[in-house]
Amino acid sequence: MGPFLLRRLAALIPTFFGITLISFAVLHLAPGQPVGTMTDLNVKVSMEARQRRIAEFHLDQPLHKQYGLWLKKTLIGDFGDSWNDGRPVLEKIGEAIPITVGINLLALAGILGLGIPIGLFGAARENSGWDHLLTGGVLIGFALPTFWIALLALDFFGVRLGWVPVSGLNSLEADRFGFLAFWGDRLHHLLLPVGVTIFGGLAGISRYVRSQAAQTLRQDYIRTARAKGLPESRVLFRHAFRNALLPLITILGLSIPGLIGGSVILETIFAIPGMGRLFFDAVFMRDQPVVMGILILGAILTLLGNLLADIAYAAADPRIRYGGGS
Amino acid sequence: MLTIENLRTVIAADPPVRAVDGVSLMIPAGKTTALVGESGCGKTMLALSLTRLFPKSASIQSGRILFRNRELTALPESELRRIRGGGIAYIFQDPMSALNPVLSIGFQLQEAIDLHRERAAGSPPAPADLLRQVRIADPERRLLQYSHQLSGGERQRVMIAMALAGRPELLVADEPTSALDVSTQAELFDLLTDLKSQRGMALLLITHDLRAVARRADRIAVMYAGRIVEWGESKRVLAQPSHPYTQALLRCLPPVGRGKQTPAAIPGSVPDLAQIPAGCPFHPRCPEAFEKCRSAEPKLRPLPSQPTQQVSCWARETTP
Repeated sequence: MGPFLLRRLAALIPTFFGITLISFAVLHLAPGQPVGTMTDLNVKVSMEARQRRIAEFHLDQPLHKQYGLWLKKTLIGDFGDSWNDGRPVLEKIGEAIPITVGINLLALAGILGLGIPIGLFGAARENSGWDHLLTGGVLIGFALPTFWIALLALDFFGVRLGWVPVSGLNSLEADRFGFLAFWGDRLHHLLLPVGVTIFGGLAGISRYVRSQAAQTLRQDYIRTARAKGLPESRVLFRHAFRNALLPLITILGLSIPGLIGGSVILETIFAIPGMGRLFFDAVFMRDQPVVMGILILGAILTLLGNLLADIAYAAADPRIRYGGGS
Repeated sequence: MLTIENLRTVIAADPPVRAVDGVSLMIPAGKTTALVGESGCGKTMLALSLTRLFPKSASIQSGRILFRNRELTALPESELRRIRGGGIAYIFQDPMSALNPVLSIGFQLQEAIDLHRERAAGSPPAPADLLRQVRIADPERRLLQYSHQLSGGERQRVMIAMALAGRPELLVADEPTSALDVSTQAELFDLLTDLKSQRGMALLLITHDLRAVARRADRIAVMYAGRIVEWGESKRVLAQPSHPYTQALLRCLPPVGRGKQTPAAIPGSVPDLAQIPAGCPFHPRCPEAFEKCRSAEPKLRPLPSQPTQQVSCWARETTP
């Protein structure tokens, strides 16, 4: 396991630098000047002030020098300040990330908690009425655009029925609430965005689990388990589902970076100040430190997610753990 | 000990596949019965039908299976489960895929032992002892390993050990050596025969390799198109095959030693079990076929000259 881990870690380093280089280059290919939002729309800003800003951000330097300067700062952990409002990048990300990660974790838990049982049930009772009803139902959530479901849900549950608040993370007077009341209020506000995210993501997981489990149930070793005289429930849970859920580890690993990337559309509809909005705004402002900060975080998490999936796989499947082959 | 009467197993399809089509067979206790026939003649489906291990699309249409004075086709799933492993145990063709890849050998053995713990008298067998009985070296270490760390022959031995865990009265071995090399095949056949004698269990050996069963089987049943076409003591069936299909099968074997005969293929091919020819199903390939064979189906009857040998062929019936 030790050398395996070291090899994997070493392989991550060049990938990481590649990602930063490409992100940096693409950001500079985009038209428009980062200082534009501060200077073009403000007649009081003089040409000299504009030049000062450009020099301050090193925008007068050639691109490779800019990348070098940026890399030097980043490698010592200095992500810089936003070019837009001057606040530290890490502080801005730090405000948005718990919100988005919280929503995404709730949604992921819901998707797995509902999707895996739906998929396994579908495989165990393949082509039964319930199977068709469930797999058909989740497909609706997959086929319809999220923003449309979000708007319909907002109108129905928020406006017509008045069950849930329609926007924001908390009620206006939430500051005066006690601890429990505050988080209860928060959950109440998140019900709709999380619910819509779950509905949209359910089909992918449940159909994947269903096809994997159905395939596993046709394996010879399932017949062996039945031939031993095992009850059907133990055949399903001990012999079939464990094998069927192995590939899910990859999917979960790949979904880790997705946890910090908020949905721009949903965060806009529900007025949630999360990562999606932060990134979206930063790109439009050409706010390089914020954009690069979020991209690096995403890159690190993506690479770590892959690594975690590999490790989890090795832990779950003896064929990988021992180097495979007989 | 096990008696099959007029069993029909059909796989739902369009048209339906009559995989087992009116089979009657007696499997005596403590003896080896070989079930031979070409691929696709319904051998495996017959074996799986005994405890309804076949896929969901298959079902038993008619017939009876008598085992331990019980009628298996009438038993509900929950009671049939006790028969599986405990009364009738199986080993399958491909030991690579027949063992669960993510559970250790020890776990899979222990599971089988625990299932049948309360049924049989005496203390339950230890997993390592079972492995020793199937002649696996270093059993304690093997228990901690997984199927991918074993050779093909060892995997099949583990399957046999697992089958022994329930102390069955009948062991069904479905092409147990087809996926293995020749020297391993002989070892496994010898092992199965020895275990059969030691434990006094019956062995149903399914194979397409007549030569492999020649010395080891007590009885031979020849299957063709979902039917038993010949049945009898193996020495007699091999020495004096009666059914034209059995004769053709024996001619397919390459002669050993100085024989001058070249093996002869059977003309034509195994009929599609969804479209079995009318009359005797073998008549399109049969050198002795005459008018009656095309219209009426012969029944399994004792040979007039040799009542212990049964054959279903119009050409062998003495017409008065």
